[in-house]
Amino acid sequence: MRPLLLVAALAVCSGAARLQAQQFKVTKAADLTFGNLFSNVPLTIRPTDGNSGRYVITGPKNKAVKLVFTLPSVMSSGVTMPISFGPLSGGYSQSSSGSNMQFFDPRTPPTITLPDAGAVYIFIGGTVQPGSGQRAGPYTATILLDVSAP
Amino acid sequence: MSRTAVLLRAVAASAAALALIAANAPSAAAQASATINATATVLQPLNVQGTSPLAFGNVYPGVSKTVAYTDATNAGKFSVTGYGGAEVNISFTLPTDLNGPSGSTLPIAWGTAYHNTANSTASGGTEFTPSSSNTAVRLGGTAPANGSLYVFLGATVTPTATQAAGNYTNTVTMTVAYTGN
Repeated sequence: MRPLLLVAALAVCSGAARLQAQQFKVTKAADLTFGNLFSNVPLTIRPTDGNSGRYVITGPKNKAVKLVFTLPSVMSSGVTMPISFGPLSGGYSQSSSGSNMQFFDPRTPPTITLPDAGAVYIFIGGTVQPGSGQRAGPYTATILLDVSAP
Repeated sequence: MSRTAVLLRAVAASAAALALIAANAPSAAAQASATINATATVLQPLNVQGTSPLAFGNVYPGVSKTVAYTDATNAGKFSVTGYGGAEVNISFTLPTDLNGPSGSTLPIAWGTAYHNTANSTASGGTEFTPSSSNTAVRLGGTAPANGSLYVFLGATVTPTATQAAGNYTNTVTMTVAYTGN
């Protein structure tokens, strides 16, 4: 009887381990903050800038994950203001400071591998283009990062 | 209890434990997401107005006439309002002639100009040479309140000895844009 119970217990533990190994998590670390803008003066925030947007992905080391961004085309404040993203608007790093950042185009879903530390930091920049008669006031938009196994 | 019964009970217990662990495990096993906000604040737009024309009044043939930027009555003046303390570039489209009757033209040469955050040419401002190139100037005031800038223009017209009589006019355009600084 005891060997049978032992086999059953091992089966339970094995199942739990598989669930844990599949798990990863994404959290917001910082908003993408353009600050004060003047009408007709575009502003670009790079991923390496201190006010870039940031996420943290944690999960099992060496696991490949696919990053899919839902990017806005405008920011809103009753009226809209264009926002755009380019080939160097995204970056990832093993460090929260962004050292040794690798760049990517957030418009094209990249696949990255979680490092040995099990956490990777995602940085996102962009460009806003207020018009010559852009209405003064605060503007916001939402950037969604969806992470999945490729 | 029979051996078979014990075995079945063990299997049932194991299945229950597995189900409990699975139920308590985070559901984001294969997919996870998070959102951040993008935020920006657009500041007060610039407002530029031509508030006083550059007026030479009566001019005699063969006699040049100069209106200095310090001429409180006749100097040309623009006023600018915008985000307090912000830097702007100012540039000009300056005519080389005033247009008169029957296609006559009256040459005009632009002199030293003056910009000031106060509506005065007495002190506190800076002389500059107006041109199509940008001149960086800072608005007065302190953010987030609005600030002002005043620009004063002077020039010289040089009528010939045979200058056709009549009224002569043209347009001076000043362009102002935030630099972002």
